This record gives sequence, structure tokens and C-alpha cells, in this order.
Amino acid sequence: MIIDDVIDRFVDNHGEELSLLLLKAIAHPEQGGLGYNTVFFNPWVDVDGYEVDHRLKTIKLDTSGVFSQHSAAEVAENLKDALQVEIAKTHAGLLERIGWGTGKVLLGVVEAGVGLVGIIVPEPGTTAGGIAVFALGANTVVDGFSQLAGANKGHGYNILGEASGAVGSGVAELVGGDPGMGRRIGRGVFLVTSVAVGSIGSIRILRVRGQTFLRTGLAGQPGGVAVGRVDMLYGSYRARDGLTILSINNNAGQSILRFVTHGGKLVVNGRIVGVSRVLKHESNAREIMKGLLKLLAHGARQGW
Amino acid sequence: MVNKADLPRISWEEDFGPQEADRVSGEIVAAISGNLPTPAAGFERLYFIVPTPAPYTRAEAEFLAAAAKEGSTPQNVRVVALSHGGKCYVFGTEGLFKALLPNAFRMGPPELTLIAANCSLDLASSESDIAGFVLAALKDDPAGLAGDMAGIHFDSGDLVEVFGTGS
Repeated sequence: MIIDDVIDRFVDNHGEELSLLLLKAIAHPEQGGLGYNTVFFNPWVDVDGYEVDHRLKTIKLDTSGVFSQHSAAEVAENLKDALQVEIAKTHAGLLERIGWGTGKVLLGVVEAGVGLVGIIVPEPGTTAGGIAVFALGANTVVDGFSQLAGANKGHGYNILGEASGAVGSGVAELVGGDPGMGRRIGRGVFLVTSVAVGSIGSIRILRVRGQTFLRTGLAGQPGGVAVGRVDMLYGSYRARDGLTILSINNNAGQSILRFVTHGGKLVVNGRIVGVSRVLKHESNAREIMKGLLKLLAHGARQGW
Repeated sequence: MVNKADLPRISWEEDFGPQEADRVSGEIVAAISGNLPTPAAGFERLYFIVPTPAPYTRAEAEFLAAAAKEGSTPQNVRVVALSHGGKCYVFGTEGLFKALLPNAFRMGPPELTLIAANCSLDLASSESDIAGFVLAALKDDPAGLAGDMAGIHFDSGDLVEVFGTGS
């Protein structure tokens, strides 16, 4: 059994909310998570099907019952119990704070992402709304990050709201004038995308040895910027409508998670280097969630 | 340009072992150079690898070290800077180009454009002339192309486009 199978069953059977809880549990602390690692074990006697070691930050999942091997669905069920019984209880206060901060980052990047696509791939009537949402989204991202960082006694700063009230109300009016856009912001398929961008990409921006921290001109064409291991907003030589919104690299410069527009749609690619491609031009939120969880689970095992 | 439905199904997977890597490398070489005529007098077959975005410095060094292990020399490999930070690697032999495809996919950038061309240039030509040819090939600019050219474009491991003077 491999963890990828368990994650597939977990997301299929237990939905978005528990999947987000799993994501928070196994994401690295620098990504706003708790940093738990999942491992399989096979004890002589095990009643619950799992063991959680909070000191070693390990969730052990039993792979065999008394008479037979557990299925991936059964192990996923045990993982759910471990999360609900052990992780959520022990880290209730922390999860609440992370949840709120991550939620803001998440919402902000959804807004920015939708806004950006609105600008880049304009459809009749969406450009103004897209620009407005982009502005609001960036503001919400800052708010979320400041909250995660514990700024303003944990309440965060709303730069747009506090310093630019007039602009904010104008933006709000513009956004409010487009309920369809509002609905897409809240419930869009980019929900999970935003978790990745918020918790993996934007927080864990690391300097890469031998590379300039801030670079422009990435891809042989005007535009494009790289900050640490994150490449942003560069076009493709060949795919005419292909614009990479974000590409998160490992230290070797291998793209591990990438958000790119194709045909006016945002799709996600993800890979565990040398192991498998976990997201192949994916736009389905559930599948994206699975891919992100697999990336995180493998990332935790490889020590990031 | 080839319709998406008619594209050959070629993908580069993360868990490729040596045999699969060799098989798919062969398919790639066949896809780009299989339909090119023998170079006319005064023309030379060159092979180009264009990663997008440009690879990290260390990744490029590893790629060139792999090329050296495969027997590269200044006479059969050339690194060419493109405008706005782009990079291109030019090879004078099919064998070296094919041998380095696994390294190209491992190098890191998610997009990879691979081109074979019958060029009036050679590896000793000026960098600006080679860069001009590559950019013309990438942008389908017939004014900058003398000779036959065939290329394929990979996005995150999947072949997504076939292009060239005969397409």
C-alpha cells in the first residue's frame, strides 16, 4: 500500500473539510501547517488502527487487521479518526488560529487568481471586475499573512480597508456589481489552488543558492518575475494562451507545483520529482486536493 | 501546426527507468527529425533544447556535466543566451541530443521545446545568428528561417504541440 492510495480514498470519502484538516496537519510549519508525517506500521496489537506521536509529529497507520490486510479505504478511515481524535483535539487552539489565517490567505488568493485570470483572459464584461477583484485579493492575502505571522495581536492588518477606505469601497462596489464573480470567488474551483499558493508558495519563499533572490526576465520574453523559488507571470514561447501564474520550484529548480492558464482555464501541474506526476493539467478541485496532499505527504517524508 | 487530436501521445513520466527513457527519447527524435529531408548542400542538421523558463545555474551546470560525460565538446554543443533571460542548448549530433533528453527533462523547467533543423548555420556561427534562428523557429517566423525545421513542445511532461516548416 502506498500513501497515495490512502489519500485518494480519504479525499473521495471524507470531503473537503476533513481534507483541509489533513492538509493543515501534514503541511510543514513554515507553510502554516503542523508538520506531521504519516507512516505505515504493523503492530502486534492495535485497537484503533492508528497511533499518533505528538512529540515526533508522526501519525502511524496500521496496514493490517487480525486476519487480513486493511484496504486503502480502511486506512483512510483510520487516518480520519486519528485527525479527529488526536490532531484536532490536541491542536484545537493552534488549528483555529492557523485555520483563520490560512482561510484569509486562501480567500485572498482565490480572489487574486480569479481576478488575474479575468484580466489575462478577458471575456466581455469581466475586465473591470477582474481588476477590482485582483486588488481586493492582494489586500486579503496581506491580511491573511499578517495574521499568520501574529501581527496586530493576531488580528491582522487590512491595508486596503484601513488605509484606503475610499478605494476599498469603490472596489467593493465594483465587485458587488457582479454577483456572478462573487460567487466564483467564494465557491470557485480554485479553492484548493489557493491553499497551495497561500500555504506552500507564498509563505515558504526561500532563497536559492547561486540564484539572485529577485529576478526578472525568465523565459525569453518580456514579463515574468522570480522571487526565491517561485516563478510568476511568464508566458510560453509556444502555447500562445499559456501563462504561468505561479510555478513553485524545489532547490534544484525543478518545478513541483505550477498553476498555468490554458484555453482560458486555470490548470494545475504537480510532481514528486523522480516518483510521479500527481497533477496533470488538472482543473478539478477534488483531484487538485489529492495532488496537493500527496505532494505534502511526500515532501514531509523527504524532509522538504 | 498539428491538431491536438492528431498529436502523437508522448509523455515523460517521473519514474522512467533507463529503458523507458531510451524508448521515449527515440520517439521524440523520430517525431522531430523523422520527417525532415536530408540536409541540402551547405546546410547542417542541428538539434535544439529550449527549456522555459531558463534553468537554475546549478541545474544547468549538472546538465552540461552530463553532456561532458556523453562526450560533448565545444564542436558539438553550444549554449546560447536568448533575449529576456532565455537559454538554448544546441547540439551537432543526434546521438548526443538523444542521450541528453532524460537530463533535459530532469533539469527542472516545466516547459521544454525540442527542435531539429536543417540550418545554414553551424555551431561556430555567431551567438546572435543562432539566437535569431531559434527565436524565429519558436515564433513561427518564416522570415528568420532558412531551411527545414520541425519541433515539439512539452508542457509539464506531456507533448502538447508539434510544429515546423512542414506542419
